[in-house]
Amino acid sequence: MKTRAKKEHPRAAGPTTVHNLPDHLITLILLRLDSSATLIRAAATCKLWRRTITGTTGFLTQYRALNAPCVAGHYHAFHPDWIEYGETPITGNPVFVPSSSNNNNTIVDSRRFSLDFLPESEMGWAIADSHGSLLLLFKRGTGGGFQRDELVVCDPLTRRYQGILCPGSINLDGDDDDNNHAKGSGGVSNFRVVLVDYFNPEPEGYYYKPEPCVFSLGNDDGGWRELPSASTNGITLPELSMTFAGRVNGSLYWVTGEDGAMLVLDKATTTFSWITFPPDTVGGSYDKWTFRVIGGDDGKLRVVRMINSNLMVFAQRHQQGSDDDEEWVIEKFLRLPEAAGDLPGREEYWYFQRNAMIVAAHDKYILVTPQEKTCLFSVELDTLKVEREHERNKYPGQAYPCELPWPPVLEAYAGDDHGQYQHACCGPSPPRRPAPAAVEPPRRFCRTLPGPRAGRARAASAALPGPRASQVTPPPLPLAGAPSRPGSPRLRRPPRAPNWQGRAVSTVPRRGPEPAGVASPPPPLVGVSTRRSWSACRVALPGPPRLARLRRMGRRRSDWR
Amino acid sequence: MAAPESGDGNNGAARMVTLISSDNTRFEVEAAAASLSQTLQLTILDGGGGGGDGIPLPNVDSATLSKVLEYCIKHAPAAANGGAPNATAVDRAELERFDNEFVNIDQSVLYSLIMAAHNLEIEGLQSLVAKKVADMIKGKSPMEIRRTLGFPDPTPEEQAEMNAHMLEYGWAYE
Repeated sequence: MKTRAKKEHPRAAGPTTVHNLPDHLITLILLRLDSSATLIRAAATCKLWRRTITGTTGFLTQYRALNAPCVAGHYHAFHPDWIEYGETPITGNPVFVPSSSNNNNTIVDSRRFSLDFLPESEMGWAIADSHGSLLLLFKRGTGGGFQRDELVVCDPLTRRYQGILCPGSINLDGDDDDNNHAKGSGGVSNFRVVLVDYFNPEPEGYYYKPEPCVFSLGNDDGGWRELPSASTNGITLPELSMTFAGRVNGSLYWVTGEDGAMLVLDKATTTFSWITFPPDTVGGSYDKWTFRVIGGDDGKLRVVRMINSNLMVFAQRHQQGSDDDEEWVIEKFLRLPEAAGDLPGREEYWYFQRNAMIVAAHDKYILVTPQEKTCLFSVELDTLKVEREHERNKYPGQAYPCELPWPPVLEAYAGDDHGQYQHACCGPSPPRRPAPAAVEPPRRFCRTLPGPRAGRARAASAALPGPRASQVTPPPLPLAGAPSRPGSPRLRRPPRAPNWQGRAVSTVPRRGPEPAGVASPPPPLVGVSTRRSWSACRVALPGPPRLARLRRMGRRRSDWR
Repeated sequence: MAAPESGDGNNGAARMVTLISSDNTRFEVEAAAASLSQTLQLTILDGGGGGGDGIPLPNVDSATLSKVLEYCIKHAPAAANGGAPNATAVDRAELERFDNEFVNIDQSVLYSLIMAAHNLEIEGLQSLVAKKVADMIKGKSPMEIRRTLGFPDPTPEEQAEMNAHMLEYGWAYE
């Protein structure tokens, strides 16, 4: 290997321009560009570079390994539970809030993050998850309550989107050009969506089981496929009420209502596992107002609990001498009533007569509220500082990071690099047993859905247990999981949804585990959190019975501020 | 990586090796410095380069080689320590300063350097130059990049492609 050098480039005189350099040296240079925006400009510079960036195997993979992604900002959801009875429904799209600390010199105009390029949706689109620069959105319910759920994966900056047919839907027709999708959709052409349907084995029962399936566009055969191992993997999925707790490092977490055990779905491998969380250390209930998981600084799993208005963050610490055993220890502890004592408007808003609730949990901060929902404030995890005035605190729901797109998005070269994008979100789904979740209308979105795939999808869906499409039924809101909790007084929601199914969908992004999306399930999503932000969404189309009730629930955005 | 001095019986003074550039200029350097090049290291370990033989480097001209050796000599001590374990902050800062100045040179020399670094398998130098060139690209529009790097003017077709690209990825150009 050593002598090779001499023969490779016989040229004695050095090259005088970049163009004379061999490809791999060009690659070496391009790998050192400082941001994806620079990379994109470089790609525009000349064909050779473009080919190197978008076509070279592994280039983007290497680039990502060397350069941290730049989070341009977050899309904020508006949690439907915030809407009060009788209020107008939420409509509109998620709100983009740019990162305040953009360490990159490429700050992109926020207007570029507008979602106005999405297909028409009367009530707007709600966000279910994000991964890298991709967002997973679903259509809010329209009019009455039923609606077809439509899922879309989009890349805001490149203004591209790709529709996804949900399982259960049928008749997608035909096929047209398979190639098309690869071509104009760039980064949006390769991702996976993981969807977890909850279904109720007994029509009137309270319990439901998660049933994951995966949609892939760019890989495999495309279309939806059920995960055979998913339901098992040696694990008996509980017939218990579960609440979606969040996503950390590429895994989705649910907490079971009884003892705090967490069911974990690894998005990449789509396998389930259990994690125990000591029930005795804290009591209290296990629902979305009191139990969340986050990544924390090091990306490791943390559990956020709200017990009697005390905010606690638990982390796992290795026990000495044992390989796997880790014990949960309290890493942060904050008494909210006291901590919030200095907040402006305290007299007016702040009672703490009842327990506080977690509205959204992020790696760096937790958004909380008194149960009266009179105000929202954030607790910065590093400093435990309590703040109200923050742009991000205006939106009572999860926020999903959006990174600047990678150049691959640029061209349609479907390089190997895009690998796996994956999104996940959860949503509830319709009640019926196999109810397949979202139903997607057969229609195909605009530019997307290539035909052939459609065919496949259909097959896939057929396989799904679900009921079929016809039901467009949207699942009941996710409220589900948590319905009962002491939580929202004003929201009356039916306690536990009987049979709805929730679904969690997630997108897996390209390579690694990214913090990606958060979860918010779209309306339909289940237990998970549900709706997002814009205005009212009635999101999810709730399923059956509860529909009406849900619908009735008011939804007006209260005016926080 | 092992310092080759004691490799084959040269004790005392550091072992020297001779390198011969493409234009037949002879350079005598310490084996430790030359060994930053993975290519040369093997040859040297095999006992080459000593005495009057010299190691011919037909791909590297004398101007480039002297530059390469300047880098190697400066970095040899740190490399001999296996990187940085016992390098002090001062040493590192000094190396950094040296590196910055070192690449503050004409583009054509940069390209010759990176080619030589590649041929000789001197990783550090290769990265250094690549970084420098990347820095020259940062923050520029495609046309500026072309101009900076001395590309020929774009053909109308290229220009059209560029415009289309800029239109499509407008966000990256703000």
